[in-house]
Amino acid sequence: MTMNRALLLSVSLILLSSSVFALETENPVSLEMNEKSTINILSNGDARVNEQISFTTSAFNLFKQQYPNLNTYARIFKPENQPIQIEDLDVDVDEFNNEIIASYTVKGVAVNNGDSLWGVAVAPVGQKVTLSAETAESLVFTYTDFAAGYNKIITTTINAPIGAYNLAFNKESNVMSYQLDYFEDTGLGNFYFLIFGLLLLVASVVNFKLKY
Amino acid sequence: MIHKIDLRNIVSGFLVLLALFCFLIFAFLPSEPMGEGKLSYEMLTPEHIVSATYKIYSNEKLGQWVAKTIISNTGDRPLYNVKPQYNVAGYSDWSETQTYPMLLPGSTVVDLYYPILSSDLTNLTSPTPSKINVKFTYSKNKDGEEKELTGSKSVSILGVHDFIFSSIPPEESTGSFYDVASNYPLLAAWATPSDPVIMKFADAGNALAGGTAARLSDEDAIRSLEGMWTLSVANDIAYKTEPEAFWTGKFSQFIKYPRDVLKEKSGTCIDTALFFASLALSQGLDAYVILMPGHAFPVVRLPESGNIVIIESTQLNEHASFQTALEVGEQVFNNAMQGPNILVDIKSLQIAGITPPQLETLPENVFEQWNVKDTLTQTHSTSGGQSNTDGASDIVGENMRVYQNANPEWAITYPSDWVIHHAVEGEVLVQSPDTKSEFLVSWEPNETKENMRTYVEAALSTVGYVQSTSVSQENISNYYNGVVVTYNFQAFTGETGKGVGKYFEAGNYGFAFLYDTLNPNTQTAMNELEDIAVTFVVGA
Repeated sequence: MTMNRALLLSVSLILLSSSVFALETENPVSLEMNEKSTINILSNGDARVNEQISFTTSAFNLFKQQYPNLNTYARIFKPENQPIQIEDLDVDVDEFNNEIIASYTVKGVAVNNGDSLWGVAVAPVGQKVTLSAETAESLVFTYTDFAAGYNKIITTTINAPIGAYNLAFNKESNVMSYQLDYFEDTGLGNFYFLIFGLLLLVASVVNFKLKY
Repeated sequence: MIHKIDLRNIVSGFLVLLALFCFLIFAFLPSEPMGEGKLSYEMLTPEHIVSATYKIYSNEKLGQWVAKTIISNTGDRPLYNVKPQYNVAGYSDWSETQTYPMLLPGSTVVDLYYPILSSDLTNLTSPTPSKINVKFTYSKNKDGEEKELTGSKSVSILGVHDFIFSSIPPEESTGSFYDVASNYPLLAAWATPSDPVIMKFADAGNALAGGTAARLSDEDAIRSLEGMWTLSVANDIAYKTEPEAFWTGKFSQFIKYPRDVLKEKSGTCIDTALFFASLALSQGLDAYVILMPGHAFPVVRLPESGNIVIIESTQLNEHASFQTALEVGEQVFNNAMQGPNILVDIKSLQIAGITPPQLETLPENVFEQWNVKDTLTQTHSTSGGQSNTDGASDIVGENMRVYQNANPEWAITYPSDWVIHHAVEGEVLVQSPDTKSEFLVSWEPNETKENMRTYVEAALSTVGYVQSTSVSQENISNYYNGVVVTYNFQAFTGETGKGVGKYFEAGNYGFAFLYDTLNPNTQTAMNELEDIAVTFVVGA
């Protein structure tokens, strides 16, 4: 499960939980949400995410009913059993435009499969996602979720880390892969010889100028 | 002089040569990496493991992990083949989890633990401390020596009846009902429609209703529900408050499984709601529980129309008729809809994986052991709840039978192939073989005839449209002043019929004596009913 999918699922579940019975017994309420997110994967596999969720007015009103105290809405990004680990969360609500804007870091989004090959689970296996655009550095996915009572349109741009190459997406496994070379820090081991050599040179000059 | 110069030159020359040697090493000798990888981790665990829902923890789709471990390499060099494994001390084996081939310096992986927990958890009756153990194996070099790091974290495993309404930390809770009851999906684990004990009881209740196939029609569903209700009333299931499971340290409740309600013949609103919903589900009906602040009640969706039947299950305590439970249920439902409420869709949640725990296998004669009635007149029986001789005696002539009720005293003579259904305490139904015609005798202590009429007409209105066509006075059993109402009736199934209701007071009881028919040959059927009705006598 990707961080994006998990987030959307959380939002939708919470929004709909209060209206489940209404959905069961009355005409379905149609809630519309539009989400745009940019996921910048860092060289260590973490990701910095910027997310913008736009609601229709009715959906936003329902959201506000659910969270009369808007200070608590941030928890929808960090539900207790969230499978991902989010840090540095910053959430703002734009009431004028019916939007939630969030940025956060997700730990360990990309997993190193050995050597220089990395993998990112974009969506659960079997889930349909559409790769709508592709460049050497990024992939753009669109995803629509039409369920009883709500419609979601999600556009997610995933940017590979700087220096990554061979960016690819496997439709079967829903895994995005890329290569990013790792240069091991050789440390200062040999550098000490350079310093020592320079010191010896200085010593030889000093010695030459000494008056015996 | 020469000697001095030579010495200085020799020393300086030696130093220069040494310096050159160092430069050569710097330039051409491969450098060994410095430092080493360092594994560090933070393991997050839930505060409690809920025993009743122990099965859900192994289902990754439900996302109820028991440990989320953030594993980082805080060292200078990569770590290789990092493999975390977990167990819940005493209740699961060591897990087989993913191996991470390479963890670079500064990198993190997030690993989740979904344990397959032992059903031994269901033996716990109170919170029990346990530990979630974690063990990492890894190497600091690609083919280097395997190292191990272990740790653990305490967790409390709740008793099998303990339900915590919410796991949202207080600082994050809005205080709304939805937050306070956010764990409501887990309640589905307390509904046990496939428990053999519940199935047997539901079948017995259904048999009381004539053995209808509840899923075939709305009418059959209502009959089946009424039969199960009647049998529950006959078993004196009472409303009783339970401890609030304060031992969990949370807003919580001790919740009985439906079989416990049957065994102990008592339950809270939520216990009886789950009990009745389980009975309905076992008959193939879609049943739900609605939660509202401070209360819970079951709702059943009818198979044909999709209409819902709302049952106030705490009315069991009042020995109320099924109709009364419906009337009160409707009022409660209307109240619930005025405020926050949550629908627990048991079937969907169980399909999603929130299934009941493995309960103890009970012996065949468990009803006998628990003194559970599966018919209205026998303490223990293996037969169904309907009978054409039950409570009847004295065959009168070749094809007639007398039913005599002891307290209050009344009797009726009816064709021996008609079937008696003991509806609830204070109610007897005598039904024709084709189920189109029936007599109902209902009595209630200290009740007026006007109220008896109201009850009966309300009950009739749950299965169709009732129109009273005439109201008159009549002496019942030549003694009791009664109100006689004639009805035209149209069932929701489209069938039409007629009926007569006689309402009177005798001794300390209010009586309703109703006979009606949906037989297409209405007049013939009514004539037959009138012939039987004249045999109805009240008093010694």
